[in-house]
Amino acid sequence: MITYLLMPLFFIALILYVSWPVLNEDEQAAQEPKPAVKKKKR
Amino acid sequence: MIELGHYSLVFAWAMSLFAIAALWFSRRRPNTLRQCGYRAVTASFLLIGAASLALLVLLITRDFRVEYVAAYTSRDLPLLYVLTAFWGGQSGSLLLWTLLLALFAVVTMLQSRNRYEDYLPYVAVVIVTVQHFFLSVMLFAANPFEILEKVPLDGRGLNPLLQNFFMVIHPPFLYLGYVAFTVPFAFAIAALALRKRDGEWTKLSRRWTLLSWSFLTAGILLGAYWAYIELGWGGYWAWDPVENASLMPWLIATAYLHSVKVEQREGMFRRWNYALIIVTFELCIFGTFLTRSGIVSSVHAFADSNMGPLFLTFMGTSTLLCLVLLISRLEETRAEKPMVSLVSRESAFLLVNLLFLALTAAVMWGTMYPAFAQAANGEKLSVSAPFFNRTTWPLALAVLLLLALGPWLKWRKFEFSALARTLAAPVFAALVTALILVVAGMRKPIALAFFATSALVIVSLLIDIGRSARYEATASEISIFSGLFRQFWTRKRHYGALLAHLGVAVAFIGILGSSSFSQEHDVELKKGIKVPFGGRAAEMVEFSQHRDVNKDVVYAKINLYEGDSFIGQVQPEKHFHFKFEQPQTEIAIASTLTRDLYVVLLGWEDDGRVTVRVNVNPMIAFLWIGGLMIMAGSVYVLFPGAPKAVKAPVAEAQAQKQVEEATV
Repeated sequence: MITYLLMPLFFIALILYVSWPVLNEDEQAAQEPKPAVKKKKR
Repeated sequence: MIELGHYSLVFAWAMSLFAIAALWFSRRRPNTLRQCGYRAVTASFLLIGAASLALLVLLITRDFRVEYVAAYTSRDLPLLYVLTAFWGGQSGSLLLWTLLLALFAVVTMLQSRNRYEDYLPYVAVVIVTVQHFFLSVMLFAANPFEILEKVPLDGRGLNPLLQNFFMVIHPPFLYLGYVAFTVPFAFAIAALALRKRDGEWTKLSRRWTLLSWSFLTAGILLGAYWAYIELGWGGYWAWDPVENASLMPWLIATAYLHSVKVEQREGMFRRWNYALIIVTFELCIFGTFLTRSGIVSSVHAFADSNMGPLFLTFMGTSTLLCLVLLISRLEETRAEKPMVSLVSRESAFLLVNLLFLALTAAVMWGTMYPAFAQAANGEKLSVSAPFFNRTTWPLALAVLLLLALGPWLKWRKFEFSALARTLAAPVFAALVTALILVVAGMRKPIALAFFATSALVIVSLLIDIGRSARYEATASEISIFSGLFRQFWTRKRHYGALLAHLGVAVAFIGILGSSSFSQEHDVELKKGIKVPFGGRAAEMVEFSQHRDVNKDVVYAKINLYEGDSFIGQVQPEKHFHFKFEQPQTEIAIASTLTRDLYVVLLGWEDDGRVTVRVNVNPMIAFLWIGGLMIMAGSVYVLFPGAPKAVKAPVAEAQAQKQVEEATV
C-alpha cells in the first residue's frame, strides 16, 4: 500500500527536481544585477 | 513493487528522451534548458536505480507472479545466488547494463561539469542515447517485470552451473567493461562533433579507457577461471561464440590503448584512434547482441528472442552515423606529423595494431561463419578450436615478439647498433630456452617458438627494469633497490605497463604449457586398490551416493600419488538436480605451480567400480598468475600519481633523461 503512495510522490519529486531551473528562471533573472544604465544628460 | 519497477522504467525512458532533447538543443550555449537536461540524466539514473531495487526486492521475496523471478529463482536458492539471478537472465542483465550506464553518465557529469563544459552536452547525449536504447529494448522486447498469468508455487531456480562464486562476479565485471567503454566512445564523438584538432579527448577519457579495459580483462579472466573449475571439460577457453564476443572488443580496445599513446606523444594515428574506439564500442554492443539474439548457438546464449532486429538497427544506425561523422571530419583529424621511419617505435605500434585487427577479424570470421552458412544455404555448422588455434597462434606470437622489441625501438628513427646491443642478452636467453626444451624432448615448433619468445620478452623487460633502477641509483646516489622503488613509484604508467606486459608473457607460458602438453587418462578405480596412470597413481578410499534437499549427490574420495609420495586427496562429484535435466559435474583439482591434476567423475557400476578422468594440465597456474599480473599492472596505472615531493630529487630529471635515452 505504501508503495502506491510513495511511487507517485517519488515521480512528482523527480519532475520538480528536473524542471526546477525553468520554474526558478524568473526569480533568478530578477536576482541578477541589472546592467547599469547611464542617464542621459539633459 | 512490480508497478514501481515497471513505471520507473517507463518514466526513465521518457526522462532520458527529454535529457537527450534538452541537451541537444542547448549544446551551443549554457542555459536553463541545459541545467534541466543534466538534472534529467540524474533523474533517469534514480529511476533505473528504483527499478533495479524493485527487481531485487521481488527476487529476494520470491514473488513468483513475476516471470523473471519464477524463471531464475526458487524457494531453496541461497541468498547469494538470488542476487546472482539479477543478471542470470536476459532482461535482468539488460537492466544491470542500463543501471551501470546511467551511473557512469552521472559520474562523468559530476567529474566534468566545471572542467570541460563544451564536451559535456555531447558526451551526455551519446551516453543517454545508448541508455535510451537499452530502456527501449527492455520495455518493448524483454521486460523484467512481465507478469505470469498463472502463478507457480515455486520457481525454476538458477542453473546449477551458474551457482558458483566466480559466476557471481564474472558477469558484473564483464558488463562494467562493456558499459564503461561507452564513456571514451562518447568523448570521441563529442570531439568529432566539436571539430577538435588537439586530441584532448584521449586525455580526458584516459582513466575511463583504462578502467573499462581493466574490467573487461578481469571479466574475461574470471569467466575463463569459472569455465575451468565448473564446466568439467578440462579447459578454460572453448572459443564459444559468446567468449569470442567478449574477446573481440578486448582485442580492439588493447590496440586502442597502445595506439593512443602515439597520438598523445607524436600527434599521429588520430583517425585510427577514433576508428578503434568506435569499433570497440560497436563490438561491445555486438557482444551483448550475440549473447541475446540466439543467432549463434552457444552455452551462454539466451534462448531465441525478438531483440535481434532492435540490436541490428541500433548497431547499423550508430555505425553509419559514426562513419559519416568521421568522414566529415577528415581535415580536423589529420595527423600532426607523417610517419618517417619504417622501423621505429610508432611503426611497431602500428604493426601491433594491425595484428590485433587481424586477430579480431579471424575471431569474428570463425564466430560468424556458422550464422552466415546457415543463412546462405541452411547448413548447420560449427567452427571449432583447431580453426581458431591455427589462425590466432601465429598472430599472437608476432604480438609477443613485438612486446620484446617495441620498447627498445626509438621514436621516428632506427638505430640498428643500439638495438642489437640491447637485445643481445634477451635473444641469447630465448635461444638457450629453446635449446633446453629441445634437449628435454619438446618437438612442437609452435610451443618452442612461444616459450622462446616469452623468455625473450621477460628478459627484455627485466633489463628495462634493471637499467632504469641503476640510472636512478647512480643519479640520486642511492642503493639500487631504492632506485628501483623510486622509479616504480614515480613512473607509474611505465611500470604498470611493464608489469602487465610481463604478465602477458607469463600467461602465454601457462596457455602453451597447458594446451601443448596436457594429458588425459581415464582411470577405473576400485576401493582400496592403487591404480597407476602416467607416472602417477590414484586410490579410491570412499564412494557414496546420497539424496540432498534438491539433488542426488554421488561422490568418490580419491588419494593421489606422484611416484610413491602422497600428494593429496580429491573429491569429484556428480549432482542430479531435481529441477534440471542435465547432471552437473563438480570437478576436483590437486594444484601446484607446475601442474594441475584435474579429476572428473565419469561413471560408476553397481559393483563399486568407479571411472574418473584425470587431466594433467602442466603450468596452467602460470596463466592465472599472468592474469593477476596484468590486472595488477592496469590497476597500478589507474592509481593517482606520486605526490610531487617524492618526484622532487634534483637528479631525477637528469636520470629520467638518461633512462629515456637508454631505453626508448
